[in-house]
Amino acid sequence: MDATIETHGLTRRFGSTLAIDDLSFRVRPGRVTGFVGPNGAGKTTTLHLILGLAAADAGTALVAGRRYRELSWPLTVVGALLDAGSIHPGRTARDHLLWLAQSNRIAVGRVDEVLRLVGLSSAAGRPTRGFSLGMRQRLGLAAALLGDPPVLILDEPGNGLDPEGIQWMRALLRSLADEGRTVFVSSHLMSELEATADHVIAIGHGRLLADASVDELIASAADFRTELRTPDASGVMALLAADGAIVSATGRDTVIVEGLATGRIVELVSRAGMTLEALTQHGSSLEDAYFRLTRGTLEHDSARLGDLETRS
Amino acid sequence: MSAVLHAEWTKLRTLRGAKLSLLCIFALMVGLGAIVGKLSNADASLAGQGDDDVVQLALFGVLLAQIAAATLGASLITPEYATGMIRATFGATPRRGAVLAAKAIVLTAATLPVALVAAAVAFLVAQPSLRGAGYIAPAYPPVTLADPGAFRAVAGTALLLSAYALLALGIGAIVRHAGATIALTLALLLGPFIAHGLLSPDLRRYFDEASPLAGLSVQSTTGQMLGMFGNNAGPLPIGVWGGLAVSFAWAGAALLIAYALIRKRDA
Repeated sequence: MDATIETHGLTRRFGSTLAIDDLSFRVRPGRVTGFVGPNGAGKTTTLHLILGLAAADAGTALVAGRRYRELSWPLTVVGALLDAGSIHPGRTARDHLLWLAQSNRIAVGRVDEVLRLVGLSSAAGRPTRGFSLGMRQRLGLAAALLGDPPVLILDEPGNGLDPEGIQWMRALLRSLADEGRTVFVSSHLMSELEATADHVIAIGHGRLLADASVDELIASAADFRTELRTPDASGVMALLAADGAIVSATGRDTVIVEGLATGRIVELVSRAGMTLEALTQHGSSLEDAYFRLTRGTLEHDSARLGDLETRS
Repeated sequence: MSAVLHAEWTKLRTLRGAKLSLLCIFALMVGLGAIVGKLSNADASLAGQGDDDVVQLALFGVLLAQIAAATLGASLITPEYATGMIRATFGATPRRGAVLAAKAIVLTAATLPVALVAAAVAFLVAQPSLRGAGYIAPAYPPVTLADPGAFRAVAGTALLLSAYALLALGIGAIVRHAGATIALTLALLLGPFIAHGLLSPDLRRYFDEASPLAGLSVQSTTGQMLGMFGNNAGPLPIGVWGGLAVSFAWAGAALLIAYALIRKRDA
């Protein structure tokens, strides 16, 4: 089975708000794909559209080549962890997994297997009312794994987990991807994904911002922002601005340079015979790449607001 | 279909609220049957045939048991919306119509036998209580469950309670909120009843024939409806089975609207 997730021109409106705007991407098997964006970017809505919980106004979302609603035993194809509250508090963990297993003709013995896998065996007979958020996340993960599905869709699985739990979650996601499964994990924290994801799909305001490997993203961010210390701040700023960089003074002798590779900065400054006292490269983490991406959407917004003001 | 039925049965079986509601149906039917003699007295001066319907008197607990039935129906769906569990349900079974149908089937499968036993026991415990209140031969010859009228009333009461549970399930799937569901269902069940005395005879007849309450006629063994809230007993407005059909039509209509909505709404 080709266990990819793909969306083609996915679009969804809520009233006059365009929540998902012509979103197309493909999530491939055998790796962990992060799905990032600020709160309100449309991550959860996108996941709901993929899972057939919400209807798209245009476009399609396919899992393993089919629409979710056309899958006869969906839990054996896609395991999903949505908000950890999706459990009736009066039911025991085991009973929650039991009805899920029965709904998709999954062997009942699988229930205790996944409970053991997520470390909830000892709490299996207790109503979930008394569960911590972390325990509910584990139970949600057990539900996702119940049908041994080739595709996993997890919405913010790290929520409520303690540092140990996060480590455990990362290792689990990695091993699931290594088994050849498609692992699609949303998060609003890029740093959380840096250690886990191989590939990142970033969205903002329902639009695709990036669909790239983690290495590519980090590389693109590394060259983007450099902090310089120089006694000749104004001279350096003029020089680099002439080469197309965006420069700004952050102190009497410190300058932030954007849009110019660090190597090029050094070359230009030394050729002009100016002095550099220090040079710090920013944006060497995924977090920075992410800030750069999402700041792009914010700038886009203020530009649009400006348009509106001019027109009115 | 059998997989989703199996799942919905497990959900019902592991829902404490549902079991409590079933217990309440039993307790209210039987409890009120046991004390009915304290609430109604036969006219001791009667010489000939009495005109009270002792079968209907024995089963009047239905008026409170229907509240428990409504709560039961609502409890199968509204907590799923309150907790977000509905997304797990529709994720596991994307054919939402099948989910609603399965809920309706397991709800009936749980309500009908419990209500049947409750109505039968209520009828039995009411007999000594009624005799103590003067319902005795010759005006009131003894009745047993073997009498066709009595048996029909007992079975019909169980069916009626199932219809009310289904009505609440349908309303619950439409409004998706526990409080609103109970309020709306009880307004439909008790509203016509409360308004009864205020209505003109024409309107009253209309309510008797067309409201969810019409099914109460299945309890009648005298061709008359029991007087409610001090109203005089009146002639049966609609056939004994016809009334029950009207109550089921209300439940069916609610479930059909729910089906139409549930298919296109976001979960």
